[in-house]
Amino acid sequence: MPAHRIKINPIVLAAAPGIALLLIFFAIPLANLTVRSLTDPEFGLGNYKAVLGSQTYLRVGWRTIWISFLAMSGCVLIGTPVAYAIAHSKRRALVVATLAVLGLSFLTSSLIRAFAWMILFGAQGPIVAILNAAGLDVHTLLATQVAVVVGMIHFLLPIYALTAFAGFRNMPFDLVVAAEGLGASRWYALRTVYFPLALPSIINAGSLVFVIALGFFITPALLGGPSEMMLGQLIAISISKFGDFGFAAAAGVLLMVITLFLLSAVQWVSKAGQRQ
Amino acid sequence: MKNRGMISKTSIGAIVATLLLHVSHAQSQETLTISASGGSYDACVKAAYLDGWEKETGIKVVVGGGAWDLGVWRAQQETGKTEWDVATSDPGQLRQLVRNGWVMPIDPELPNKNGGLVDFPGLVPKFDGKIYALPTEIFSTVVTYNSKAFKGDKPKTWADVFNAKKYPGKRLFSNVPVDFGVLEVALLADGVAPENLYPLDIDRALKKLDSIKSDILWYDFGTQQVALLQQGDAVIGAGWDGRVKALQRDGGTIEFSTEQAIVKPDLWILPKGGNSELGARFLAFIDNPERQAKFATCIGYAPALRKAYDLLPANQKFTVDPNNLKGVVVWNDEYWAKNARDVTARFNEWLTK
Repeated sequence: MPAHRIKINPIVLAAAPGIALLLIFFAIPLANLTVRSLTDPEFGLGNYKAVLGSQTYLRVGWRTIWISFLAMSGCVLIGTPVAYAIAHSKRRALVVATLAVLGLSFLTSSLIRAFAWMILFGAQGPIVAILNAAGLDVHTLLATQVAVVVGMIHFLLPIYALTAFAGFRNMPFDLVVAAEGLGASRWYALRTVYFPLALPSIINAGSLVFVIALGFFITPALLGGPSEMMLGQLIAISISKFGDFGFAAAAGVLLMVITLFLLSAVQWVSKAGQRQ
Repeated sequence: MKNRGMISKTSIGAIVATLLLHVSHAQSQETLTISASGGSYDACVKAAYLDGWEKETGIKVVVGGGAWDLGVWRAQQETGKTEWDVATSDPGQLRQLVRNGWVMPIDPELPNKNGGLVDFPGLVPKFDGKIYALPTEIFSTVVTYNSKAFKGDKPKTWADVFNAKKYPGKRLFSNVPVDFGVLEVALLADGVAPENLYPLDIDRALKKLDSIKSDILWYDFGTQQVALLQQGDAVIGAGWDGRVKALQRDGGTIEFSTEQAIVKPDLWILPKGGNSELGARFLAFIDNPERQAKFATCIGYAPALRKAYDLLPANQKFTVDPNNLKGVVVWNDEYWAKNARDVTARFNEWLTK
């Protein structure tokens, strides 16, 4: 027997580089940002008061949450069946093709995708042409909520579908088969057996895309108008035009706190639901 | 600034350029780093100034990130890592930079050399007797429209831009009033005389904008300015003459009116922490009638050096003749430097309502 050495849990060891990375690239800048928000230009809560006292920021803040919620809902509605199909389909070619499409669109830059939508939704784009052919009098779809939410869903869908797929893949599909064997219809089995078990994966994937959506900047800037303005755009202006780091930091910290609050509420509700 | 495009890319570009700069500084001898301005402006800078400079001095020029983002300025100044030896700026930003102590004074005699500058109000602002910028040309914000949209009379004035009955369709404006003058435009359209424009009557401007609010298409990036007009999403709006001319050269159908132009000079400055000695040499190099005439012909902006006008092609016309400023509106940088923050907050409050 070799001499006893200090035992390091191999999991901790494996996680160490990741933790160090998170610390350097997230924890420290985040702490830095928070300090900035409290000290720039002077010590105190002035920046927070300014953000919370601004009708514009409150309005745009809630709008940001609402638009992100819409985009997330779209991802859940469209992405869940896709994730289900690639997780359980027996047709390999279909699975590989779907994964390839998701992966490829995930790799395309958000800027290029937003510009593409700008043309598609624009006055000379096909969507306007179709709507007009159908008898609707539409000039352009730019600067509409539809354009922004569609553009955001387009960006977020691969992230949602791939995350949900990773959860769905490990689900015991046998249970659905067993339920069908006991006389349940496929739809009834999915609804009562599969869905409750899949819910945590849906919530996780949904929360992930919701958080990403909150930080959107390019998509609402190119596809939206003032009614779809998101917090990222206001923060960008306060930095690029005025160098207001403290104010921008406070707005960022507030958005983060609200996000964390919303996410913990969702987690709490979903846990409570599972216990029942 | 001419190019507010790609804000997110600015910071990335700045970081990458800073890293590259450190590598290149460590390896080679002297280089001159200038800020990028984007698009046709950079191409003309290269053709009129950089190629000649490299040939004459043997000092290579590196075009770094854009200098229009005050956040990038602040980050560089706070960390002591200035990217540029010379940068482009505008009069409003210059005041903020001087106030923060982020620019170096330039040779006070430079604007008087080589025949001197055109007689343009506020072209060379003094701060405690010092000057911090060399103006090289004057550009305009003008009534811009897609010529295919209107069969009869072409729009000429800002009042026409607000006349949605005669010129129906979406109006295109930037949502950043400090750069693009949407408030000035509204007041001029409402009949305010250029000499009474400042201090801006914000209530009146917003009321005027309210009258066409549902017809306005707002954009975020300078690149959208002519693109949305050319694409037909909007039919009329405020644009920069240089961008319109560049699009016309590419076969676009966008035109502009020279009436009631709002004018602003482009400036070259020496950022603090850069190689100001070399930067000053570059400023002296571009303060040259031949080179400025070449630049003006390329970009379509009126040169600042008086002698440059003698060297222009006979058919070269500019939106604004700096020697005849009748009916022209000079953008008031002093007003904006003082009020930009408050005005922007009020404007955003109105905009997002």
